Amino acid sequence: MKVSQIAQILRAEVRCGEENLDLDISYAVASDMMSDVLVCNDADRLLITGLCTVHTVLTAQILDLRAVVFVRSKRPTPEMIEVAQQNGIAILCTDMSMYNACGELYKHGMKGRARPDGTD
Amino acid sequence: MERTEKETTYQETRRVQKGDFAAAGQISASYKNMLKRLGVDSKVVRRLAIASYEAEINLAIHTFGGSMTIIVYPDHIFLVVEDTGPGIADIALAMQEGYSTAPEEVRMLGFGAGMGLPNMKRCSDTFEITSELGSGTTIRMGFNLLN
Repeated sequence: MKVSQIAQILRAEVRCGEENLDLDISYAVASDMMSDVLVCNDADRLLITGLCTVHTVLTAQILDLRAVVFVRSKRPTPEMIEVAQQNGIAILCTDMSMYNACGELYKHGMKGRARPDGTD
Repeated sequence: MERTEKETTYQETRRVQKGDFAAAGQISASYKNMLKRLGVDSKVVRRLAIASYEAEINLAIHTFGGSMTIIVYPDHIFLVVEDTGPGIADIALAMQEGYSTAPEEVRMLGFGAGMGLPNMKRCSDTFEITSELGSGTTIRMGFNLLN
């Protein structure tokens, strides 16, 4: 699914990384715990989170993720935007809850990927 | 890890201060940029960056401070993480996914779910941990560049 479609489905504001709008992302991970997000090292994932800190963007950078969605009306700080821009990460902000954002994306075909231990 | 200095492509040691969670991640991000410049395979770079990030976060939140040393050889990378305490009482327990002694404020920041040490082991090709209460912990991770 293209990042532009993700933004449209989630009625999200694109705060930076417009150059990634045409990129395809196959899978999504949703968590407020970066510890859990770091467990899978697949770069082809969209990060959906309500944890709006610079460590969220750093986690995306470490994992080579190309887009992050902040749910629940969280807004990134200028520092977060700067780190995201430096590392080619698109930041999307939606007023949807985590549950609804995941539900909408799943309904449109975006799936999760199995964790390293084989669980979904 | 017994290698001659002549073989070394790059070596660097950096300090991590106790409680400096705000800065945690900067060393790992710099490793990532440096290894990309050296032309290391992106999957290896990602695995090493994840292991390093987990270690850096652990040093900041769990220890009295410590250091991270990266040694790059043409065929291998070693990451050595050392701290000055407090040490781990039960390594087998600490290696279990989900076991954590992280305080609530760290969990509020999205870390401390008890995944760090097992994730370091999962991301590295070789993993050794030694610890002594009162002295500190040393973790040695290896990453093969020839696979």
